[in-house]
Amino acid sequence: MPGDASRTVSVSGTADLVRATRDEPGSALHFALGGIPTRTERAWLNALGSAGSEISWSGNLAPLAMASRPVSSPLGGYVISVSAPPDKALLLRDNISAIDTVTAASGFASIPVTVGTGNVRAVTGRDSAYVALRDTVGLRRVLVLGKAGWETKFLVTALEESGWRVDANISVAPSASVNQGGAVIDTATYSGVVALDESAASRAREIADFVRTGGGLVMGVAAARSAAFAALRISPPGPVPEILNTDDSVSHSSAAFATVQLTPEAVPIERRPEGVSVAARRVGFGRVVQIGYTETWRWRMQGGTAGKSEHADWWTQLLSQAVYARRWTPEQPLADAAPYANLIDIAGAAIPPVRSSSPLPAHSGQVMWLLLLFGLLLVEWASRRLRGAR
Amino acid sequence: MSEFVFCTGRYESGDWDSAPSLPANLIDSIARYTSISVAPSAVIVPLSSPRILGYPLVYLTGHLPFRFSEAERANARKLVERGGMFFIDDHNHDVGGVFHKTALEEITRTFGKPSVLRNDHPLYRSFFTFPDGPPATSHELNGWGDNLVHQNLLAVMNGPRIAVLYSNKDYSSEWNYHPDNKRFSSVDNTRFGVNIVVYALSR
Repeated sequence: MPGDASRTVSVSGTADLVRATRDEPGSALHFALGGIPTRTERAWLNALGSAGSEISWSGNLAPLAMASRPVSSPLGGYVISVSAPPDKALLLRDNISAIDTVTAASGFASIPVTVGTGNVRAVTGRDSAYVALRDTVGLRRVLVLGKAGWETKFLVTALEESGWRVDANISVAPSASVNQGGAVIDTATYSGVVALDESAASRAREIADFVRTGGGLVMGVAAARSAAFAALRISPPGPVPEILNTDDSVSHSSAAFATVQLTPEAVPIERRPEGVSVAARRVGFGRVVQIGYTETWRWRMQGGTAGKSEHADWWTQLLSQAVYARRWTPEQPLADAAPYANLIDIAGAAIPPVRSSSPLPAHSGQVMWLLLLFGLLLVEWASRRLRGAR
Repeated sequence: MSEFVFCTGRYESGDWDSAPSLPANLIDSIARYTSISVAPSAVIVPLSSPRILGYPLVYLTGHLPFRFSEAERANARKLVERGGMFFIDDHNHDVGGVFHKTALEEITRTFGKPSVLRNDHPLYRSFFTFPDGPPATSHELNGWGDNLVHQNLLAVMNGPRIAVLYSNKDYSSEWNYHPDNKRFSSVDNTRFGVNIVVYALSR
């Protein structure tokens, strides 16, 4: 903790640090900061501390921190998470242009970014943080298991339209199925499995091993009712409300569903006024998502002009939260994701501004020498005058 | 899981209801051979109604001039764009007949020009196997209508999937009988109808 003997240095650039290092090596220094120092400046502070200077700082800085993660979807994209003071408006921008302006109302904001180039930077006032968008995910195929019907057919269609590589095993009769691809269910082959109904029960043991080793499972209502999936489901689904008139327009927001009863280890993914319609839990290294909808295909067919994309996007978003996807980071990404935390790591927490007991102006040593030289010249001149010498 | 409901489309021109026993016969076959959950009764839905979008497989047939109204055409396009499928059968079995000529015009106008569906298409293996393509009907073999045995069906594709399946083979006559009478046949001639339904529900 610096005492009154600390010298206060106002830092508005790296040059101030250079000067402080040159003029006061090894002394206690207090930095009055107007913004979060850059990476270079923080490295300099770190070096000063390592060289024996006792350093402290003060200033009203925004504690910014951010992170990015790629979305496990063939559509790509990222989710940018930002922690910032609730009263600060943040500008998000990548290397090319501004992306969005957000306010972290609860101190935290999560922003989906479909396309980004280089780094994404969050800026508020003079403070900023940035993360690189270099992670990519290695998605494998998705296997759909279900009985022949509109739900299965349009699920496969929607996933393929969204870019997923889909295998399907569609049960048509007790000894007959329509197969599209298909292999052993493991994480080397599949990122996720969608088990819509009891036709998947014969592979429940294989699916359970798949999930425990990291795979993702999306379970439909009929599958969750099957005893074969009792160990994987969140809870037995409630009854599906009877759809009185299926001729009307049907969209996601108006669709009936079987409520998913949450258990302590489950988290709601989608909550509606009537209850939880989608929930997820971890099983081993993998995830299980249980849905309460039975006729999502109607969103596509009877959901108006946006119904087709709404159906496909909903399934893609759901799958992306469950599937196993290996992350690839080609090289160590350049990032300054938490500059405020890094500053505290280097120089400790901020302290109240201190007044220096030796408020010497900059270059005070040089001025002293000039004054001394001027004094000597004055003495020599006076001596000559007194002796009458010319 | 919702049931499959067999739907006959009602259009304003022509005689859309010329094969009234066909739906019950195909429903019987689906229940008989497959484990598909199928509604015991078929429905008839006006093609001009948005209700038609709740039935992604629509059967159309007739003998008379075939032309969609604007509302029917708009709904038909929506149904196909969203992934549905039409099965249209020429009840005349006559390439010189008025239904065939007007239906091809309307199909081309609404969906695009149909092309020949190869006889090794997955449709012919979706449940029963038909190695030679579409099975011949007794009307073809007896020389009725245009006196031709049509070797292929026509189709308009939506990506890799059939969006409109068009037949000159008069399955509407072939399958238009009470299901109880199947016991008099050595081979059930509705088996290809099962393939069409299974294909629509699984591809």
